[in-house]
This record gives sequence, structure tokens and C-alpha cells, in this order.
Amino acid sequence: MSGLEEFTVATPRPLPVIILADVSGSMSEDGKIDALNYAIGEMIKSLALEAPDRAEIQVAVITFGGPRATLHTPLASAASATWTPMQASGLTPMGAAIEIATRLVEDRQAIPSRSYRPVIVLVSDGQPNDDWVTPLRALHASTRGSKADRFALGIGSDPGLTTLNTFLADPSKQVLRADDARQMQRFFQWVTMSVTIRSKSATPDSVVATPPPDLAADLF
Amino acid sequence: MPQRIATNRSRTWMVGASVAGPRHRRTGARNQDAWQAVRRTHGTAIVVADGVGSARFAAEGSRLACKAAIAVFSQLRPCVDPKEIAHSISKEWSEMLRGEEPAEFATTLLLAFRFTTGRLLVGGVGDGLTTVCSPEFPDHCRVLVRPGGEFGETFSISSRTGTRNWRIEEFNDEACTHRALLATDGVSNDLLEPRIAAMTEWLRNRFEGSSSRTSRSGMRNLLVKWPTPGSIDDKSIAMMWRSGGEIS
Repeated sequence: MSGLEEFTVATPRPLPVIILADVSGSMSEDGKIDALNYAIGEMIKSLALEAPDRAEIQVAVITFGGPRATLHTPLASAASATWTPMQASGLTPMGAAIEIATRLVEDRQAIPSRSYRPVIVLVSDGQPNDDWVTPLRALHASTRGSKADRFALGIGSDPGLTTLNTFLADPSKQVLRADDARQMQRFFQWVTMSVTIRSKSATPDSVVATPPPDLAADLF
Repeated sequence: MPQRIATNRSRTWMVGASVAGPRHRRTGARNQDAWQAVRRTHGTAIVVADGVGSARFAAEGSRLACKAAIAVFSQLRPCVDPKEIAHSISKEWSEMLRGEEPAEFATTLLLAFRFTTGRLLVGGVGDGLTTVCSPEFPDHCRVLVRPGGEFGETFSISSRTGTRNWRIEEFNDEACTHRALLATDGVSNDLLEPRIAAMTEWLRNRFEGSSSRTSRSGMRNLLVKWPTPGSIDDKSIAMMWRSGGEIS
């Protein structure tokens, strides 16, 4: 004990992971919501097992379905996060979810300046029903949102690829597509791997380009 | 209201240290931070610099930045316009590179110059902490804000934007109550902001009256035994204050 403990933070720098999950009515078809619940739950469990030697991985889940978007799982360390399965119903207010994500990323109380570059993951199986263009522009224009490492997964046959690609806004990245539970799980395993590699890296602020999984390979 | 007045027994104290973080110690890489302090007849100066990780010669860049700042301070008039300081240091640093590509030596630079007149200039370019603590301020602490500095991105002395991203603020410390604290991001990222004023008081109590060698070694030990878990960056800190003022 040097005495400096009184003046310094006692936890490693946070690495926030924010998931925007589509819980509209269509997600209740073909077991999609169950598969998504399982995949996110497994991701949080895996992230919780990572020793917080260098970074404390934190998770938040924002859901959009029905009349509104909701902060389903408030931002907290993965080790302490309580995962409650999501229910699917109603429309797809993705724009409202992006607004919540932008507010969260820009909130310096929730995500202090010492945090590592946040990760934002968008998962959807359809076209948004609200204005998503304006909130997405705001996210991309925001100081911190523009720097976030973004991932996108389209579920099913008509996942609204234009929206998901616009969300990524990065020609070096691609929207991945999942048709079944196993592919969804593989996507989240890939996100988990990207996050954990960063959290153990000598420079956790640098985004590591981990090759995306070939989800289609699972079909055969 | 009682005031502190500088007397003949007043003295400016400077303490600082710079250590390689665990990341560089493990690989045997050089510390990319640097610091310096100097005492001249017209005043005293402390500087810290943090070489930008992506720059090939970051360690050299930060050392040269400190050297350039001290060289500029040594020639300054106490009434200098703060804007001139950024230009002069950038120019001096560029000349020290002898034609090499500045981006390969990119570094932040934070400074505190105190003249014997009581004029105190504090600021710099890039991330890290520049703060002045004094009982005269609300909350006893003024953290000076500069552009940029999140998620590993920072402005540097080599920025193509010239000196636009420099900020230097001026204080009157004739009463000798101000403590200037500079820290690179390896330190500042882990400090509890509401406790900074208390920390400067703690450091003052710990090091005032000690020899330069003892102070440097003590400060170095504090940085090596940094308490925040997962803190891997190089660390530099420097503090300057004046003591010996009398209450009247």
C-alpha cells in the first residue's frame, strides 16, 4: 500500500459492449427469440469468465420491439450482469434503440473517459418501423459513437440489410447473416472473441480485425 | 481575509518521475513517456510528454519535446504571450528532429511554467492531465480541458493542425497557493477527479523538504507500485508548488 489508493480508481478500465437486440413480433417465429436469448446469455457468461486483468468488460442490452425501445440490461460488468431472457412482440422501433445507445455512449458518467473504445452490436430480422436514419446519423456524428467498434447481424430471410450496412458505415466490415440458432451463436462467439482479444491486448483501444466466421458453412 | 505573501524564504518545489509501464517493461521496450524540471533565475518549469504509441520513434519524440520546452522556457520573458509558447516549442522541437518526419516522433506535451513574478502558465497539447489546485478555487481544483483524448486518440505536437489544439492558461500565483500537477494518461486515466486536490496536498506533504534525489526516487516508487489493476501504460507525473509564503 503506497497511499495512492485513496486517489485512484480501484478497477481496471472498462470495455463496454452494447447490444441492440430486435425483439419485434417476427422474432417470436421459428424460435428466433429463443436462439437470440441463448446466444446473448452464453456471450455474457463467457465474458464474465474473462479475468479483469487489463480491462473490465461491461455489457448492456437495449431491446426494440412493440411500441418502444428499452434498456433491458443496464451497463454493468459482465461478471455482475443479470441476464433476463427477452420477450418478442410488436413493431421494430430500431431508431429509438439507436437513440438510447447514442445517449449511453455519450454519457460520461456511465462510460467514463478512461474507458476503452466501446463495441456496439446491432441484431435485427426486419425493417425498422420508425425513423432510423436520423438517430443513425446522430450516432455516426457523435464524438464517441463514431469511434465505436460496430458489428451487425441480420437474422432470417429479410433482415433489412441496407439499414444494417448503414449502421456499420465501414466498407471493411460486413453484415453477417444467420438463419438458425447455431449461426446466431457463432456470430456472438465471434463478437466475444473480438472483445476478449482486445481486452487482453497491449493496446485495447485498437480494434482487432478478427476474420468473421463463415456462418453459411454451418448449413452443410 | 488572510493572504499568503511570498517572502525571501519562499521556495519553489518540483517533483516528478517517469516509468515504463508493465507492457513495455515486459517486452524490454523503452519508456515512451518523459519528464523534466528546471530552475532558472526567472522561474521554474516542469514538463511531461507521452510519445504516441503508433509513432515509430515515440520515446525519442517525447524526450525531445521535453527538451524543446525547457529550452524555450530558458529564453522566455516573464511577460510572454502564451500563444507564442506553443509556436516556439513546436518550432524548437521540429528543428531538433533535423529533417526527420515529425509524425514518427509524435508526442503529447504538458507544461507548467512559473515565473518569479508569480505568473503561472499551465497547459499543452494532447491527452493527460493538466490541473492547478489552490484553496482559492471552488472545489480547490481547476482541471484544464484540451481537445481530444479518448479511446486512444490524441492530438500531438506533430499534428498537421499546427498549434490549434494547444491550450495554455494563465494564473496569478503571487500569493503562492497554487500547485500545478501534470500527468500523462497512464496516470490520469486512473485518478479520481474529485480527489485530485487532496492528492496534490498529499504529495506536497510527502515531498516538501526532501532533496531532489529523494523526491524523484519516492515519486518513482509510487508510479512503479501503481495501485489500479490492469494499468499497463507508461506513467509520468510532475508537480510544482511554492512554499514559504506567510499568512498576513
